[in-house]
Amino acid sequence: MSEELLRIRELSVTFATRERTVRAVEQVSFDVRPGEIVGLVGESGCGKSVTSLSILGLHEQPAGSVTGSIRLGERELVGASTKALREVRGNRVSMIFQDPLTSLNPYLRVEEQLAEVLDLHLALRGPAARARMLEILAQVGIPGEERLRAYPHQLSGGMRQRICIAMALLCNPELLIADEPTTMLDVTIQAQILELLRSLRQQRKMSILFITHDLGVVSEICDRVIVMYAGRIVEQARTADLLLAPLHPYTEALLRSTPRVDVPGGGSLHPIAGLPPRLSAKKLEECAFLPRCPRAREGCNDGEPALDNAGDERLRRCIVPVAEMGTRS
Amino acid sequence: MSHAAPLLKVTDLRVHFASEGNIIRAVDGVDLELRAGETLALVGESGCGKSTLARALVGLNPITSGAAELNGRTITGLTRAAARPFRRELQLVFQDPYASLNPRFTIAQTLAEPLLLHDKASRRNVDDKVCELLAQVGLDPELRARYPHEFSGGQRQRISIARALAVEPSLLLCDEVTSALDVSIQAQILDLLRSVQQKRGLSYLFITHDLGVVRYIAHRVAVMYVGQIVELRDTESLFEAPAHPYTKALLASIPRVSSKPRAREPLRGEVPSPAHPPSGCRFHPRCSFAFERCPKEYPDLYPVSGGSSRCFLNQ
Repeated sequence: MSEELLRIRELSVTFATRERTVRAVEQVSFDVRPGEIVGLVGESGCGKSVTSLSILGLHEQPAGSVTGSIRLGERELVGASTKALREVRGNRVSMIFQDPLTSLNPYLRVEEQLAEVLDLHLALRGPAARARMLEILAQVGIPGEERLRAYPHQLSGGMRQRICIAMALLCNPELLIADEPTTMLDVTIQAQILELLRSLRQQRKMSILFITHDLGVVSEICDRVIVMYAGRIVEQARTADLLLAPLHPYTEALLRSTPRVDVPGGGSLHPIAGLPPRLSAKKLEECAFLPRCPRAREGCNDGEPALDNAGDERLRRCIVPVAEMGTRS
Repeated sequence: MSHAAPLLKVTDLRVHFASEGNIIRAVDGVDLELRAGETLALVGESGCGKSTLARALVGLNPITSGAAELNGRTITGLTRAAARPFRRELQLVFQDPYASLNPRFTIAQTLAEPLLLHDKASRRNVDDKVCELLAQVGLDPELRARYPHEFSGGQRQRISIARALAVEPSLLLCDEVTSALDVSIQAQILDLLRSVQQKRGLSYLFITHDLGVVRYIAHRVAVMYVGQIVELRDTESLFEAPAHPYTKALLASIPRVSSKPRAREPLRGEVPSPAHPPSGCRFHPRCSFAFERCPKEYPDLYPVSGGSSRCFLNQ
């Protein structure tokens, strides 16, 4: 097993609002290895985006209080100075987001936005910068100089996301954080972008932390998956293992509530009753999923279950015996 | 009216917009029929004209030519006053329930307005009616004094559905109604729509880009591409054996939850602009089956099992 690139240990993020304190991420630990694509999955508010934003210290102000450890190689990022974080941002770790239109500057041509990155991070200017731009655009499937002169609004959604990916790759990052990068795209364009990310990983041996709510997308691109619920990791496994035989009732319920395009009648849908819990900073007296769990039983309200090793590089936070969990067709 | 007559009949409908000297052919010759109690899904990628079509049916977009009939009566090209009785029959539910609910109205006010406006309740019994509606969509009537921001996304969508049902429509136009919801909540809303349909015999024109949802909820499917229907089939026929190359490509692009990775080739290029649709078959520049006839001649909808397809290969 190779040394991990990103090593997160006991990460907690707390936001204080006027009315209450919200613990958005609770004691999260995981690794991303070099060249690996790891999926961070869950529904709105589960803490997946907050976790990813902590890596680069990008929370909205007033920033959440972050505890625990995030190490990129030998470097500790929790508590690092703004200057130290700047050396990491864009150079070693870069990010792409759901909406490429809001992450591009509407007043600047593509060329100017790319030039700014090259100037700031690599001190590349003039013809050398231009050559690098064309090289990177070709890699993301945008040939020719014509697109360099375009403004973001003149490009399609898929093309804009390619530009964002190009910008993220300019400094050869070791880790790309992709936060729902295909959610706003049509399926045919989504397929193109997933294909592009897969081939970029292959060529560059780059790691990707892929945040999504779509288990179909996970199935297509991730090597390993981490499922989050109410700010916690509830299950972690290799993608095929998790999708074939989920070991946490929440993962199972997510799969059972997703309509299937490959099964007659869309399969049978089993909605998850109720809503996710409101997050607070209080210690849980029971499993966070208990109120919605179809497999709930005695003992589930006896303190929060630990994230246990379930063998075969799998982790799960549940007391239901593994043998009782069904296997999916 | 004969029993076999469709509830909704759309004939050669066109919605064109003028923009910067171009004509945008957003909807360009659509024929559709929708039966009572049926769910017809309208699918396609952004800009294919599916939402424009739905909005044109309720008078939110002007119609360039063609017509639509509801129960045999023409509902297009009417004055505001003449169209009013039909407004009740066709109700639209949108993607974002937060944007479509008035934030300054309580839920009771939101639901009372259409009830009173369309004489479905009087001042005296409107509160009972509001409670009845909320119970029907699975919300606690006790919550009716609250405001939209106090509800979750899924609950707000239930309120939007209740508001649409208030005036007892015969057809609900659902425009991406579950797209903003998490899957666990989406499944709740889909089940609600199904049970409402069974109880009321309501028809749905269900617009979505999610083909998993389509397979779950629709009886028939119309696939749109650059303003036109390219395939119109029974749901299971379409998913088991798609006829049109675009439908095939669309189905192949959907990420599947499976334990085995699939080899596949993404569809090339992007959707062309409806201002400059390609000659002949509009899909030919991206089609891997295209031959010399495709850019030159314009394909019709040809019959295939369980429906029709606009491709020379199906002729």
